[in-house]
Amino acid sequence: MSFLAVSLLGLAALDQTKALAADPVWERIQPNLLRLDSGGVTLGHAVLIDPKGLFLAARSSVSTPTIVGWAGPTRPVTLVVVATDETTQMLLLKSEDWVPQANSGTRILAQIEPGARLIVATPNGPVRAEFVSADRIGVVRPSLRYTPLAEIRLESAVGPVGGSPVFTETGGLAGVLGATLIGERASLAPSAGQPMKAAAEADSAATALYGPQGMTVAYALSPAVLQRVVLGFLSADHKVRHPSIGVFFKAATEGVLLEAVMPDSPAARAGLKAGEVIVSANGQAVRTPVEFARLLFGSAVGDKLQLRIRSGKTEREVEVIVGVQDSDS
Amino acid sequence: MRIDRHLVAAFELSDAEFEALLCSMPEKERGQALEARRLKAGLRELRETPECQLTTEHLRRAVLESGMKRPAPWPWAWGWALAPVAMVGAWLSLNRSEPQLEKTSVPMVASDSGPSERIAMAESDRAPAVEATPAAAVQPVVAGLEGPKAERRPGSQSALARRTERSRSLGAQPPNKSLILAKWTSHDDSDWSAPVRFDSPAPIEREAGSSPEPVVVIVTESPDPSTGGHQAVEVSRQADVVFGG
Repeated sequence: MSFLAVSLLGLAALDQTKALAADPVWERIQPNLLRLDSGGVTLGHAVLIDPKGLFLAARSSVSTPTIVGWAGPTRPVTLVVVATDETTQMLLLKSEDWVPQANSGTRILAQIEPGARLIVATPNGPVRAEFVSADRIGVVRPSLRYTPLAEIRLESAVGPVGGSPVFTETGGLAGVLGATLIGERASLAPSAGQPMKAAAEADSAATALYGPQGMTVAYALSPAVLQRVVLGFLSADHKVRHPSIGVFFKAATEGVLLEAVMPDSPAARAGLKAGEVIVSANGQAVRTPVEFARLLFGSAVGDKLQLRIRSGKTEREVEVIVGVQDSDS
Repeated sequence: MRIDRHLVAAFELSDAEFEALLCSMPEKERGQALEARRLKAGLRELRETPECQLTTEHLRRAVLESGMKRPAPWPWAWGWALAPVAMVGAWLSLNRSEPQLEKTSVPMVASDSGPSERIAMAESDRAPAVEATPAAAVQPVVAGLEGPKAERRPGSQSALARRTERSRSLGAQPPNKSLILAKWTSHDDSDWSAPVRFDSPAPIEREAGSSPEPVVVIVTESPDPSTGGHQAVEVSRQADVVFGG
């Protein structure tokens, strides 16, 4: 019985991929994609962002500094990694032998409405998805930076989706899938203990029995971050400039507590120290770390932040000039 | 430098790899490596920082700030001395609050399905009794029973929870109606007469950031072999998360 169900689901997924492969939107998207293979296995796709031969890809799709991409089944294109954005784990690839084609290049969308229908270019072929939200609060390791994430939901288990570019039905690039949610529901409530785990197990057993099977929740950079990355990659030095003052912080009773201040960072130069508390920024009270992270993310390199700092029982005002995160290469 | 090496070994290696490394170490270094490993365990027990955010940086800072010394046993000894007093206090407070609990609580059914099952029984079988009870009196009892689920608001609901609900809304036959009832009633605990909505879309539209503590998604460095992407973990307590910027 279960074998029959799995077979039917597999066939349904195959049908969806076949149907999408003949979709006019997909036909328009395909010339801007290169399939990235390694050892005969497709790891992902690179998206053309500049008709001169500059491509965007997720780091997880690229195994070596030089890689062969495939435009269609027979046309190999040699790609070299030109730049890496450590914060977002995105790569800029360049092809010296790329022949520009008419109407090529991908539009990067600035805004996507929740509920929009999407097409995900997975290694196994195009798959439909839905845009859920553009402002999930994301923290990306290893940098621990706050990064707004776009949540994208695929209605079936589609296998490998990491590094897959996502397009809207107008053919614009909505993001590149970088992560998928793992199913550790118990981790949401570590204090709940065994009863919560039992409930979660009952839930997953129910889903396994009655279906539908395997919805995938995936995350991509939000459109605002993606635009910043692409603009940085297309600049003269191919560098993405994420604003930073060089601090690590977490929630405090009031304001945010500085866990660490990086040496020689703008924050260190302004005299901030670990253990101090940021009470307000630019005259506005800082209540949660997310508020402060959003403020930092929204500022531009060179902006001045007026911070009110509490150290013990004393408070002082400091001015910090927003710099560039230096972990990117 | 040696301490750094121990930290990396203590933090990054699996148990088997660490054991193998210990065997190849001189006696003196072995002690330091074991202390570093104990610190890692200690950090995990603190639960201040989600597991996926524990880094060698945290460990290094812990070592630099407190040294590699085992905590003195004295504070614990005092703690044990206070334990009988705490037990007497707890017994007294339980005795005092018992009549109130009996008045407001709903009948419990022993179940393996966890707290959700109990609340569902209260909803479906004893609705008149619940209606007769003031909402203010019922609310804490429900919150206490359901734990974190009862605190959930539409804006802070995790993608994982939505995924489960969405799966059901797509036509899944619920194996146990009471479980579903509990899930939907948890959206609005005060509205006990609200109908169960199986066909409701996932609450995407209702999410627009009014939640006091939204879920944080941490994208880890660990690759997910089944998808080829990184693993993302949801953390419901923003206070536990360290942000960089």
